[in-house]
Amino acid sequence: MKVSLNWLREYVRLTLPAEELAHKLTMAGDEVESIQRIGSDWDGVVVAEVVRIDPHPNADRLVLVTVDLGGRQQTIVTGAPNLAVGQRVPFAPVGTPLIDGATGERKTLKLAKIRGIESAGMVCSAKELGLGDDHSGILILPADAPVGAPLADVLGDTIFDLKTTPNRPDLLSMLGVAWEVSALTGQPVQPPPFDHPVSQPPIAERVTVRIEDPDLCGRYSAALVRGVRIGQSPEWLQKRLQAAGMRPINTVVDVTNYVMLELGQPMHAFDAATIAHNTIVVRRARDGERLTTLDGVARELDRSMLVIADPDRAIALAGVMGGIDTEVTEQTTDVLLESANFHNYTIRRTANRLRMRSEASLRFEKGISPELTIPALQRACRLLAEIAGGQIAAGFVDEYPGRAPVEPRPLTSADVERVLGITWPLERIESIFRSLGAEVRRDGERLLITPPYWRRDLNLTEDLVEEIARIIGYDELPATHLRGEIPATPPDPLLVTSERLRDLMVAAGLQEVITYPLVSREFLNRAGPAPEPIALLNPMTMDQSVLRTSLRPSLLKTLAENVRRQEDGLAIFEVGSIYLPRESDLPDEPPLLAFALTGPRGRSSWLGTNEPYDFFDGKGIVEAIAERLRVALDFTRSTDPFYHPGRAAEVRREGDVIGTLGEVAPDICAAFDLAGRVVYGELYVRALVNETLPVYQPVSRYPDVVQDVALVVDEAVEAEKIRAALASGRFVQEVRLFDVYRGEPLPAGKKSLAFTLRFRAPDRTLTEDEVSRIRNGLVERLARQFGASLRG
Amino acid sequence: MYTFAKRIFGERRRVRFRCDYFPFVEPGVDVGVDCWVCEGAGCSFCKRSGWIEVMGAGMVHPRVLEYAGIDPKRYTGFAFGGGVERFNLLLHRIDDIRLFYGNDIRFLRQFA
Ligand SMILES: [Zn+2]
Repeated sequence: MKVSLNWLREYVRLTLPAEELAHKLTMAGDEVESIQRIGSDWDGVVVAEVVRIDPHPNADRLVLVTVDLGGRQQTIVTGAPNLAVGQRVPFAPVGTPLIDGATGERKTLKLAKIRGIESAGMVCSAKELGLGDDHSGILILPADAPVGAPLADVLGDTIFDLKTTPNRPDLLSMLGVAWEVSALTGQPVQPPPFDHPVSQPPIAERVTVRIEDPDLCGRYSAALVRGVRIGQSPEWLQKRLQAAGMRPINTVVDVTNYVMLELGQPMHAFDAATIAHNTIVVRRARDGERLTTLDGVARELDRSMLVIADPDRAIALAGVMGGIDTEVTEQTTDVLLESANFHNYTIRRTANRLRMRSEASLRFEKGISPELTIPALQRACRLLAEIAGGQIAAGFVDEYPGRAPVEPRPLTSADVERVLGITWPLERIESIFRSLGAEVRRDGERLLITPPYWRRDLNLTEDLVEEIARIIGYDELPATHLRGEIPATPPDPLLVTSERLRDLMVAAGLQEVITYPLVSREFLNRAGPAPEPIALLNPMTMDQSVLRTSLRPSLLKTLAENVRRQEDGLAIFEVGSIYLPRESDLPDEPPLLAFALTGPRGRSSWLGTNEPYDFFDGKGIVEAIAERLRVALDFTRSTDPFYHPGRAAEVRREGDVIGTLGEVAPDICAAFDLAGRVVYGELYVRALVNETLPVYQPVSRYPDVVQDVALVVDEAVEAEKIRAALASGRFVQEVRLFDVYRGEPLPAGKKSLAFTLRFRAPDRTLTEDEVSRIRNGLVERLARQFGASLRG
Repeated sequence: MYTFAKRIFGERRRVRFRCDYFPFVEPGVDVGVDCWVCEGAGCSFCKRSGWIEVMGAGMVHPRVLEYAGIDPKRYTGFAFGGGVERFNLLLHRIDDIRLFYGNDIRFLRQFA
């Protein structure tokens, strides 16, 4: 809300400089976002009276204008078309910084000869003074502007741009702001006059109002004004509307807007002659009902919307926009003024649906007080009588189905202490509430507070306590430290494991990423069919409309985007949850560790062959995790179509599949625009939790014997099976695959697997012979089981 | 809040409490610290105000306590929160919050 301080002064004395007042308001929750000073750069600009206009001797389109500056005269050259003798105009002498009317840039006015005649300064347009966009002519000042006075005294103003919070629709009104200033500075509020003359016959004899949907319209009040003059509003009214950022239209519309700005109650004016049977019906629109609104657009309505109708048809979209058939025009003589209270969500939904948010809908959306309707009518009637010669029909029509009695709220010092931790004398509390416009009664040790009708946010004890705190100033409250014991909480093993996994992955040279849990269905299935996701009821965008049931698309997309950014050798991981729907229960949200690798491995491996990442890099990562978390993991062949056939594994712990890894299938890589080999792996974090502490195993006093063995097997034989068979050998402590070889001199379809075997006995030193015998026995067994042969 | 704000944003910072509206608290607080770029004089970083809003806080709204099965007549609660993105945005002078969701490795590597 733009608050003109000139206007605000009508209701409350401003005793503080603008910055201080802005600071006080801001600290009290009424944030002043910016302060605009109109006229702060008008040094030297004064009110001048045009005393002579002569033709320019050398130019048809220019004139010589002599102005009086209060006993001193100056002559200037101008081409402005709208000057006449006797007018008061702004005069800027040479040296004044002005805005160039043509370019919008600020320039200092220089002494200039125009077509041979020297100009002593200039008379200014609104645009040149920074007062708006009008550069069609010179700004004509009110006839009573004192000649010679600084222009800033006549037109200068300070405008606060006030940001209002959703709980304070009262601050979308000048009077509401005045009450706030009053409470913060101790100056009393002078409300504007509400009384007005009336004429017969009364409105009740002519107009009927019927509310058919009282759940959407808690109150409908109306006034009838006869014989209104439709024309331009007086200068002062236009100026105020402009200061608030609104465009003056005509007397009637301007008055409804003025009262909305002053009191916060939106109003609408109908041409009374156009309302059939003089009857207003407030009802839901019918599905498919049509209404042409003031902006000329024919709109199709539905049952979710509220309309103002006469018995024949809809005539306005309640709280949003009027209809064109009942608009106030030049021909209008009798005006029906509407001042009503509409259901906030309905107005908001309708305004959003039709993209018609306005100053009026903005106020209704926030839930304004139904008590405002009558004061607003009184003010509007008074102004219309004053500026448009309107005859006010006696009385108002007032349907008020939503009337709710206001109970006084009790408040004690103890309540204040409970919430704020300070004791505050009741007298101080009482005066704070009175300064806010509340009625306060003393009842022994408690106060009975009836909030002012424009403050609908003061209901609970805590709401009242906040008023005290913010009027005193939050910074005035003392600061203390927390006291009391914080109970010990055992760490959550899942979180501990997740955190360890992150550390391990980072140590292994991978970069952590975090992707959105909300994705689109199409995206989710781009990496192959994913489990059916949970869909949001009210998604912000379709891109974020379901909860992911897989991390695969998100990681592949992140990989692809970074490849596109010319990053080669990428290794990323995420620890994040997926969301799996369950029958008659909340969804399961297991956290997953997922990683994806592509490009040359050089960057993260200082051993650095610059070969592209492959299956074994992925397996190495999983093995490192298994070792560091002390969980035993096995690998078995996977047939998941997400992976390249033959280059994928299931990861198992105690037989259960707890994850997968492998090289991603080419068609899926293609779906993400990924060229080259991509390695992906994912593990359920829950399955990696290991809370057991290691139990000490006596360290053998006898040395290990280490022997290598290289076996040639068919391509189809899994290395893991061979490894497991070797590990079952007597005295075998550890088996490690250290090389896989294919090609010459091996025949096609064969591969060589080289293992290191570590043997140890608990009670003696093993001899090389003994170990060789065990090893040969193992090789024979493998020859029988897998057709393995020793590599020669 | 004072302690927290000073630990995060530096012991030299001034901390201010301003009334503000958040639906889950009553009274509601906006916690601000003076701008560490211009030392409170006003600059583009603090949008000329000299102050930077860093957290929302307040006394837990009695309705929230009720829904959580806590008797608001017997207990009060204090709540505060700040977005991790916002803290980091402020501390590292990052000018576009979308960078946090973009997963651009060139951005991420600056911090890990
Ligand atoms: Zn700053």
